[in-house]
Amino acid sequence: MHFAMTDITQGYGDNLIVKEFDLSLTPGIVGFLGPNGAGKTTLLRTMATVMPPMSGRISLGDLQITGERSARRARQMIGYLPQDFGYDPAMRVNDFVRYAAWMRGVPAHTWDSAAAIALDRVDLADRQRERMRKLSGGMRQRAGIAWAIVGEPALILLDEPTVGLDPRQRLQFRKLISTLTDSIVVLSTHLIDDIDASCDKVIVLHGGVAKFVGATAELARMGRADLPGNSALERAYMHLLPEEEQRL
Amino acid sequence: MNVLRLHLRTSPLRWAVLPLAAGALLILLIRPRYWIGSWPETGAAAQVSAFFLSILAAAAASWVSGSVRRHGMGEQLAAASLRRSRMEWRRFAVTAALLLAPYLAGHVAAFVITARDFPPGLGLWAGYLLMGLVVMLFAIGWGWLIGRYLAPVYAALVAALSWVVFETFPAEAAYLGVLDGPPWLQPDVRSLIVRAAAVALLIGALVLLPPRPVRRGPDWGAAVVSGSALLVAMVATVTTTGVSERAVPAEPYCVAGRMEICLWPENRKYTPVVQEIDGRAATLPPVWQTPPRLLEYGLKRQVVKYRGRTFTQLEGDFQFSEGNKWALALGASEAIINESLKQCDWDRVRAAEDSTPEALRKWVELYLANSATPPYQTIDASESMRKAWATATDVFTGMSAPQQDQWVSRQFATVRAEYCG
Repeated sequence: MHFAMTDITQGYGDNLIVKEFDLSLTPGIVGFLGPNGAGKTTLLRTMATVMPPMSGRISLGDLQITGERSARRARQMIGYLPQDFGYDPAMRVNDFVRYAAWMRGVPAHTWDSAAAIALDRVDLADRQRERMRKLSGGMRQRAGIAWAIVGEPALILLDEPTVGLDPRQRLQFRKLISTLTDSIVVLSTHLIDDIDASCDKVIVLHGGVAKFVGATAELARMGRADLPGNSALERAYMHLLPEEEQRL
Repeated sequence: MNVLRLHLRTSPLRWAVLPLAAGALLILLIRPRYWIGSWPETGAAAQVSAFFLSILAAAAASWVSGSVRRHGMGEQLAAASLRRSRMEWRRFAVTAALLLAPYLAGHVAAFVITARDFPPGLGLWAGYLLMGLVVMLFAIGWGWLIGRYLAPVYAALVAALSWVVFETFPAEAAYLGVLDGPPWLQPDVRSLIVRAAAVALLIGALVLLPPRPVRRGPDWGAAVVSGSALLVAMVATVTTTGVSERAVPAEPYCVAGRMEICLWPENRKYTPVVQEIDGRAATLPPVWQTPPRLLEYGLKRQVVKYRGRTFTQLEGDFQFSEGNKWALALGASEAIINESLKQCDWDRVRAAEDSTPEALRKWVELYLANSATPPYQTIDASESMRKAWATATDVFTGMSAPQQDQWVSRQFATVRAEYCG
């Protein structure tokens, strides 16, 4: 499966957030890194087809996404977890994930097995009968991840998925996404650790423009010793920021 | 089907079904039992709960309608591969099913109770069922629309209050609902079809054109279409009338006796009351003459002209309101006094303000009912009328049967001598 965005411009009214952006992805884990307002969420929403681009082209596999009809077809292959995802507090965890399967067009006869696999992957199999409102913040976040991965979509978009997870759960999360080898997993995060530990590829965004697109190891090599940061990747990230933002 | 079950399992309204059904049954069972055994009255009695349930339904539907926004699921819905209308339709269907269940439970209970006798007129029951169903669906659509645009608690309040205002004022005159179902009236099928079609249009607009979940600001396209559909439903309701007069049946249900007393076929359960009153009429002193036939209200029609226009007016000798024997006794007493004194000049009676004939009529009424304590009160009667009724009551309660016969004969002779010469 191949996902591509070409010459994408996106924004809200006159406020352009992403300008002439190109992206080409194949299965693997990609991290979007950047400060607040860099355009990470806007880009993820555009990839999720929630927000049609102002201009440019998007394709997923052989499917050109040109309008609502093709977007709906594409959404069958996209698992999307927004940053502040919603849930019905009265829903059981299992139903929450089955609901996601229904919304994505997963065949009804596989809902049960697909939900069971997704919940098992996020280590919530034993909580499947719990109501969503009774889950802790971390568990709820894992239920959200199950929402995004149920039915094993080709493109998985996770916006700040590790927010609210404790260190152990973050390690679990990294382990989980490392198993999604057949999918394109896009991870938007502030946490360079997550990128370092999980992503094959990283895209550093600033002001709606990609400052870096390449392998994580390649980015790490760009770090300069005189810049602030506790790791090579952090220093590399600081290096990509405009000069006035490089100093603390 | 799985998704409908999923929605049913998670809808907060599922907890409201039993209490609301209990409420509907309470409304049905605390009212007088005259509806039992008559299909139109059974349908109307069960339909009454729609007035109250629809208020709660409007509020509840507005609450559920706004749940996508309240639960912050707009972004996830926007990323769904399903059509928005498909998702909205299921949410609406489950909400409507849960809110209609208590109303239908009341109808099922009423049906089972009356079905033991299975009188004629089942179609009238179905008509009243439909009447209430349209009211309930209209209220649910009403609330659903409001819930889209207002915050949850505010939406519920606005939906309930605005619905109360609508169903109390503009819609009441158009018989949005009824309190009872006398057999001379029927749910107006044409009006109900128009209303049902308008409500279907509203629901169609709501589920087929849901607002876009992540749009910034109102989705004016959806709002205009849904608002217009609501307006159409309101106009369709207030410009049609929910009930209309029935045609006189080809064969009324008649009980033969001293008099032939004819009822609407749906009221045949009142046969024992009719026989009781007719039996008493058969034992009246010989001075009394009974008419050959008494017709229940609505079985007679009279064409009247008023200001150049012609109307057909419903008439009858008695109005068998709720099957009360006093209603028949009152109507029969008037018919008997008219028959017995038909040669008299009633204009002279009125000119003389003589209440003797009224005292005689009242005595006949008490005699037929075999009681001196009617369950009704007349609040605007003249003093002479009250005196006449008091006299008749004193005679009926204070004198022996032979004394009563003598009193009747004396009064009769006086009236005949004075006005019937």
